[in-house]
Amino acid sequence: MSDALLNLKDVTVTYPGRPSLQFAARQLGVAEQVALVGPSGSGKSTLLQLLAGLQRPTTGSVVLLGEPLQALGEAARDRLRGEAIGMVFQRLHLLPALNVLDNLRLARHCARLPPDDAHLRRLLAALDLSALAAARPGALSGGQQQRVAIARAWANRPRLVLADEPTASLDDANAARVLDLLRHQAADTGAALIVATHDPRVRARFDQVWDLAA
Amino acid sequence: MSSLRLIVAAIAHRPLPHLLHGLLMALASGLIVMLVLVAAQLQMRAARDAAAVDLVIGAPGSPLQLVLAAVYHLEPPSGNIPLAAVSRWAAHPLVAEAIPIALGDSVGGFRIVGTTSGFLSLYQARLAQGAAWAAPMEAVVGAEVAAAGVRLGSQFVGTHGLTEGGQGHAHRPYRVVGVLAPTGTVLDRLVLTALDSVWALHAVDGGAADTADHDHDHDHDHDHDQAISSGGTAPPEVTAALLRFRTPLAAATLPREIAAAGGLTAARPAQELMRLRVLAEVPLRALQGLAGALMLLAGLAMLAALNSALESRQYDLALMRALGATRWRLVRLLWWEAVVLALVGVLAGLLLGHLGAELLGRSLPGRPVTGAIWVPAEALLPLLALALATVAVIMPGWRAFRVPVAATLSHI
Repeated sequence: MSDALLNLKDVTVTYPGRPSLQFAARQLGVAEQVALVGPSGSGKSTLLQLLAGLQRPTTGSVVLLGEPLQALGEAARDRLRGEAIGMVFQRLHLLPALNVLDNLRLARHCARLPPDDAHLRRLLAALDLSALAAARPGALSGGQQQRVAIARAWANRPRLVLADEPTASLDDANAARVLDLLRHQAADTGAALIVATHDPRVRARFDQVWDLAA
Repeated sequence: MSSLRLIVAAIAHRPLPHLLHGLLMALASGLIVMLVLVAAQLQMRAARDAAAVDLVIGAPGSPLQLVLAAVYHLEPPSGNIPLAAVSRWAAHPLVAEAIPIALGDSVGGFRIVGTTSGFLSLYQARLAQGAAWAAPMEAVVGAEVAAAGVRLGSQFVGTHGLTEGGQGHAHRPYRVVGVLAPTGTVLDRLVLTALDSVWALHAVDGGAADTADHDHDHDHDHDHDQAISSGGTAPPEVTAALLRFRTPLAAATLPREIAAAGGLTAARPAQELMRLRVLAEVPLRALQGLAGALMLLAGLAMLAALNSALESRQYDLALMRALGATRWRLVRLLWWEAVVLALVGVLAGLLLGHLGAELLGRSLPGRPVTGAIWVPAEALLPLLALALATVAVIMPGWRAFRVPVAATLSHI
């Protein structure tokens, strides 16, 4: 796939005193959605870190938007991550000192992107958060915080969104809702989506699955 | 979202440690500002007072005491000199003018100076109300004396010595005929009258020899030790004379010439002021050192505050890295936070320092110090704060630089 958004080839990661993690060659196209599954220790988190440019592979290559991440310096990877990748963390990591809208603004600020409040307010509206724009995260329910974290992942109009166990602590109904939001948001914006999960409910909803145990 | 907004939000989220360290910074810099303001104004005022007079001649004794008595009016004089001696040196070709002064009494702590009209022009004084004295027992008061209640048309009694509560000349009150406009010099704190007034009082009260006067004043401050002889059988005397040179060259030769002639002490106010400054330097330096140590302490407190804040902000910083902020961006953010805190502390300190100087000035007689003045040295304070902030941020900055993003955020 020559126009792949993401291309992994011969990637291994070695940690001192531990067996190397090896990842099969994979490609991801524009707007594709993938569930990343595998047992604990299979390297789901490591792979997400590689894709996000937070870590370099020991060998092999990770090419995102034509940029070989392993060859980029740290600052260049930071910039690429800020401009092209959105992330949804398992623990959400909303800044308690900032209100909802400012948490979204922070993403653009960190990536040195110009302010775009119209886009951010549209995102809040799409995720039913408009009325909570001025609220602090501490005043929100868990579900509302989850939606803010999803909105933040799209604040920079990313080409790829990485979500790490986004439904880990949610009941069935909320897990389904969060997953729907992620998938619809990705589909609406044309962003590719990779969801790392060990939850069979999540896996079942994706046509494409990267199983690290396979 | 600007960096400043982010910094303000971070500070507002943990206000107490930031407030405490800002307060310490404000107190330290406030103390420095107050010291700088007070020292600068006292020095300026002393220099202004000294600038009007090139040379003082008086009775043999300490030149510093002579200047303190005859120029700054802070000390009792050491004795009297014949008016003839003043006239002799006034006629010297290097002397432009010699203004005799006769000291001894005061009113409300303000010194009464018997002199000639030349004294007014010496300090370029201007009458704000009334007229200059024209007869004995008429007085012109300085602006601060008038502000203290000795107003135009009022009468007052001079008392021996420079402190309040001395024995008075109740039978010969003075009458205020003029009030001087403020000059910012010692003149503001003086009561001026004709030499004849002082002579007349002491001819009546103490007589020419003044033995009795000397005795009764022992309980006071010896300011009246050598009361002015007013003629009669004794030649007229004055306390000292203030000289203006005709040429700067006189500074080199005239003091030596006067010393060689004997019987007089010649003192240059500018020179004595320098000696005073040297004396005052030690306690001033000690206070400045103390304030500097406080400032250093404030810097250390800032370092501690930033470090402890960093402990709880590891996630925030890791998150910002994950959102695309570079390492240097985080360090810059911390630096800006330290700078904002230090500058706010220093600005509050500037305010406190000026307020302190103003309150101190108001509590002192004659308000020799004000807070409504700007001293160039104050401009160094923000630079000092900037340097402190930079040093304080080195360690937390290094930690922010090395924050392990993935490990901190656990699962990216």
